Amino acid sequence: MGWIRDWRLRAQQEADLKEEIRTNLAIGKAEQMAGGKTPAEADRAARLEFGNLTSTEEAVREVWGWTRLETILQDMRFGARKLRKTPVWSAIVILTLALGVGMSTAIFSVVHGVLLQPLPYPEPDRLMAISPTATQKNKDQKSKEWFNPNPALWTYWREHLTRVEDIALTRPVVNFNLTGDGEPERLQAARITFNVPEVLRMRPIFGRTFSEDEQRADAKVALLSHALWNRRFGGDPAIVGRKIQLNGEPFEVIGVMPPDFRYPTASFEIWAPLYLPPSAIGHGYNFGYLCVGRLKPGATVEQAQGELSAAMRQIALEHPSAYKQGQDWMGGLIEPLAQNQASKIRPTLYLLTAAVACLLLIGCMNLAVLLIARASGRAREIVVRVALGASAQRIRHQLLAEAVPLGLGGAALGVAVAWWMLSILKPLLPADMPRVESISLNPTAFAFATIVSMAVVILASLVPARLTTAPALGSRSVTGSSGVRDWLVAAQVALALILLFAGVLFARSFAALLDVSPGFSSQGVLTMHLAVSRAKFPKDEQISAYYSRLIEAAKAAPGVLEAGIVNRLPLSGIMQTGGVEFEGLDNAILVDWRTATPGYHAALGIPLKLGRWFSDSDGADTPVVGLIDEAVAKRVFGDRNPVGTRFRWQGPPGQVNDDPWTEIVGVVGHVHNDSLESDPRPQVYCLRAMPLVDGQIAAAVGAVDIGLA
Amino acid sequence: MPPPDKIEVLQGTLDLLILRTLQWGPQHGHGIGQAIRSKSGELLLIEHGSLYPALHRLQREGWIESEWGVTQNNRKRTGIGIAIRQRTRNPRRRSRCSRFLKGAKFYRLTETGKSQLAVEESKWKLFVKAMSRTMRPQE
Repeated sequence: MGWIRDWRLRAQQEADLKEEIRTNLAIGKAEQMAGGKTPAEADRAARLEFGNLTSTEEAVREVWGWTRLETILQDMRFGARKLRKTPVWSAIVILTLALGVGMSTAIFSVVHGVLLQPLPYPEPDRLMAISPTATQKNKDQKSKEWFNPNPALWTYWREHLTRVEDIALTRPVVNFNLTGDGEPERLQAARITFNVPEVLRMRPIFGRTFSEDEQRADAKVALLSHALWNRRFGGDPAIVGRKIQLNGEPFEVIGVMPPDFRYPTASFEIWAPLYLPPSAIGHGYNFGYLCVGRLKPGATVEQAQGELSAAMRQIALEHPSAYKQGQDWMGGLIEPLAQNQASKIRPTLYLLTAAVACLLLIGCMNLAVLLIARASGRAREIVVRVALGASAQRIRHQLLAEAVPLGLGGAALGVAVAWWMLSILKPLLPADMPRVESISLNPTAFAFATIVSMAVVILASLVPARLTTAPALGSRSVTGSSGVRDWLVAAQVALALILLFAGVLFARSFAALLDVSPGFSSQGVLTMHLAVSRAKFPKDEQISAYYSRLIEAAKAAPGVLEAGIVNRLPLSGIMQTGGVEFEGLDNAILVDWRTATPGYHAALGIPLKLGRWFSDSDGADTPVVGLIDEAVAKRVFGDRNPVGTRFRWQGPPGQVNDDPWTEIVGVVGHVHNDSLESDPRPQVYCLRAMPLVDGQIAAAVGAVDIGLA
Repeated sequence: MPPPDKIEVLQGTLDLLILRTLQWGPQHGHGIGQAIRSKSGELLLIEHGSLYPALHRLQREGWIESEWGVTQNNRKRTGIGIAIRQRTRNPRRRSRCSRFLKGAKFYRLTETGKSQLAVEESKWKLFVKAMSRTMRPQE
């Protein structure tokens, strides 16, 4: 209980000091009276001689040593009392702080998670996405757009790119139906080459990865994601070596990948060997893969890009039958993987960051104005304090004692605001936004925002301390510091204007987005994904029959008006593109290529503009029929009627083409397939299934329209 | 430039002045200030703002000690010839007592204070010697 004794000792010391000063004053007064002065005069003279009582006491207390903590406590109490006296003002300051800190932290956390945070793999800077590019002619403007590579390019790149250590190939659009223990589940899966884990430098936490031989032999082995392993198999390490049923075939689980292994994205839960039959490796077709490569240590992106461009030219030379010569039809692009994944969302996020920086700045200025305005009002009080013997330092401490609780309160509330904003922001982010899973409250961003606003609070609240300097006391009137305030107000107005304009622009482009008609109606439409097992239906006709039964069953359900199937739903984030050429026209264009059943367009409310729909009588024996959208019709045929003409799959650069012609039977409405913001390609629809190279029926999608009575 | 009528106490010499003053016997703060003033021929004016902290500092160093006593005036008037050390622990009561007794806090040199004074004094003399030698006009 040492401190109790100290405290009592301290109280005694304090009384002693008071008494000492009092008696010494009395002695001084007595002496003055002995000199012949009246008591009042003597008292005054003695006090004058003594000087400032308070500062003398303070100086003595300083000698006692333990005043620091005590004065801080006293100042804090004083500060809190002052703040309580002006609750509205205090609340406004704290709220301003909290909003500034909270909002900027939240937005920056998103930006950091999506753009800045390195990928969770070792040496992420060396990971590169490699893809071919095509020149797009869009209203006289030429632009290079990357598209997905194919196995032939991968093979060539792997052999010829010397700056790249290794390149792995992934086929992301593979659906596995997991059956067996528990509910059947559709899993998003990827077929990967054996070297994907090696390129990413990831090792399974249990078991092993598969070998090149296993990949070549199309071994029925699978790697599980950490999430799937926990969710479906209870995190049991004994799963390794067990067989699971995927699309009706037994696959042996050979390993469980760590949580950080999220390739191509976090939604992938299972990986199996990518079997590439010779027919899959050919130039000019089968573009539906992803390439990730790891640069050799010390190699730069520019070097690799140079090599890649040269390789692409070489490919064209070596395959004159597959590629047009002398044209820059197909190039190559190598860019950091993180950048590639976030390439679409980046400009928006940068804009947001700038807006938030503006917001933080305005918040800080608001704070400064609030604090300085209050400080000017207190000039008189401070001058009186100084006159009563408060040292400049003591005044500063007192002002700080008021500012610090404000700052701390604001920061604490700021965390809450940031957390809350993130929790409502995350579900609102576009579903196809990459790396959403890596967004979390960023401590660095929070620290930065807090420090900046705390600094503003502290600096602004110290402004009145300038009044304690001699000239301010002596000559100036005590209204003070209006110059600083004027500047702040002017700067603030300017910034607010900038933000206002930016906000208006934002709102306008957002409204424009809302105005964009996607080309279909999602109202009352239910969708589901399914994968058809080749093990169960080895022949194409069997699959067609299965689909027919499925559509019949869906239509038979009460309330269902229309039902149809398409291989890729609009806005689903999965692309399937290709070039088409038209009979008798030298006018090839890049389009979204879709395979659909007769009821699909009606179910999604896509209007028919010309000609007729697919009908059930279109079959294997009748001419192959297709639909084009109005955008294709306008671009290729202008005012002429396209119905009755024919088109076919063109394949990239000048592939020698023996693809059969497809007759255009109708023109349908245009649909936004990629996103509402961008609309790069028109569409064509084919009734007949595309020749799928490795026998994979990709995501078949049912769309049913349920009448809502 | 006319010579100043008051000079400020040099940094670090206040301790020496206080110790030296207390050599002639116990004294209270006001008395110490007055003594320095008169002994210096009204040239050294000690501010209370620095005197009191210095007294408390020296006390903490153990060079001086303090006790509550009665001033000479009171002694004459009341005839109480001895310094009364208030032993009451309750500060309020004690200050009431001392007010009643017109007592004041007296400082007195301790034994270590005396030797410290000797040290400081010789240091001071050396300093003065050095200063005057340095400042002496060169032939």
